[in-house]
Amino acid sequence: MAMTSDIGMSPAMPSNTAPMVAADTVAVATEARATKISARNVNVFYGTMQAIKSISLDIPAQSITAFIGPSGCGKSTFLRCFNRMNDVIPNCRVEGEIRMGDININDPSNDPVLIRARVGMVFQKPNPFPKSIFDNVVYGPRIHGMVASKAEAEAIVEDSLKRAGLWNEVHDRLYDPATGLSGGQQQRLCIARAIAISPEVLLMDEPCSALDPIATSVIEELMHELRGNYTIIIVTHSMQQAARVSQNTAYFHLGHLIEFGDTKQIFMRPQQDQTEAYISGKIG
Amino acid sequence: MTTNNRHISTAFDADLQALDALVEKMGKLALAQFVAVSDSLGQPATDLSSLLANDKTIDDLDLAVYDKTIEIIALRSPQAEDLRRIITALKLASYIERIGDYTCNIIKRRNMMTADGGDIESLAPLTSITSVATAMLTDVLDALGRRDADKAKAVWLRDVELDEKHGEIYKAVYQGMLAKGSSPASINTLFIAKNIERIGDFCTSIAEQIYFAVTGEMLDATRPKADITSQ
Repeated sequence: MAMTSDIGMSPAMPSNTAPMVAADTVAVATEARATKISARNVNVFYGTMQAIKSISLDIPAQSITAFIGPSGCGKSTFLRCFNRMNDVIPNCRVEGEIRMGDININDPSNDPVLIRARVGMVFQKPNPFPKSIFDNVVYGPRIHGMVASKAEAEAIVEDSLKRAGLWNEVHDRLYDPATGLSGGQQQRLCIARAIAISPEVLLMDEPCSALDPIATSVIEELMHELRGNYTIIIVTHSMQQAARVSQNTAYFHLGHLIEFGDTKQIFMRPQQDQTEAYISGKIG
Repeated sequence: MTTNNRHISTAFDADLQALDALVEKMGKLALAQFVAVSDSLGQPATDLSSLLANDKTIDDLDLAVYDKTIEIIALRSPQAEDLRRIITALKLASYIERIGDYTCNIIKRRNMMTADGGDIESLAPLTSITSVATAMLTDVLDALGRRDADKAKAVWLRDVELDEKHGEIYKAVYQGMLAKGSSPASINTLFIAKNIERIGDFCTSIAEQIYFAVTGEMLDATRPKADITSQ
């Protein structure tokens, strides 16, 4: 079957250019959601090496979208396009349009710091600042001028920690070093820190790969709860995690977007042979 | 899907092959039982009682498929075509087990006729329906072994022929009863014919599962039917 990376793909919005499901198949029930981020003809280069090849994709709002694919397929590179994190990588060049509301994220005239206030990020390894739990959470709101008083700071910290499911475990030691928390707690702290500035989108780059199964389940449950208020995009190497947590899944291979659709569809009846081979662990 | 069916994990391949082997063994045994019964329906000299014990083997294989299916799902987290293959194995085993049961029902009813000193020769006209059912069972098991969706669909469509044959037998026996009065032999003939017709239904159910496992699509539910006895 033909590659589909040059086709605008939307799992939720009907489109003449998005033949996600063959017309003669039974349509899998999907919730119709508005598009939060619309990427068009995105190319990414590291020097002369092209890592992302003309990808167009619509990310549905207030849902979880999973990016899957083998190492080096470009999924993390593409994820970083959504908050201009590729700007900090030398020789990295991003082409194309990534529209979120009224702005083109990829427009150099847009301040990346302001974009990152709207598009938060959680990384593979928990990376708390060498500060107290309190200061970690309130760090973002302070640099964005969102905190005018100590009471406001306390309210943001409590709300963010509660949303991240960490409040009950740390409310009596908010001024202890964040580095004293367990790995799973540190990752939830990083999520609290990311949502403290009320972003619209949360990017998660393998957020559970350094965590044990219990901590992973807690993070996944947290993602499920956060989904109602945020648009979440997760890069994961775990097929089971993508199947468990996401509503839509995109499969990448060698810089191409091979298939994008409803997660149930992708894992039960993928339309592309390459997707089938990858999710089934077959020799492609 | 036309993907290479070999997995990176050879142990996963071995598990799937073991599951397929169990279902295949069940199918071969059920077919052998049914063929033996079909060949001797109208022949009084043949004692089929020894075949009843074989049904326990089919039942045991059904349980083995159940165990293997749970094991693979728990340990391998199958996806897509693999998942369909495993889930359908569970249903295929169940259908084959029911074919074994219906075959035993035929044997028991035939034994009853023999014990009553009944007219075993009255079963001879059932050859027309057993030949179609045998062909359907043979073909659908072949389609299973080859993972051949087209052949499975052909079996699925052939059930209408079996229904027609069953309807003809029903009419003939019914008219005979009107003319000569009912007899245990005529009633047993109707029951045996119905058992064979049900075996054909299970062949179509197996065909549906093969088609789904291979293509990911369900066959159209509006399959042509011609069973006048169930209308």
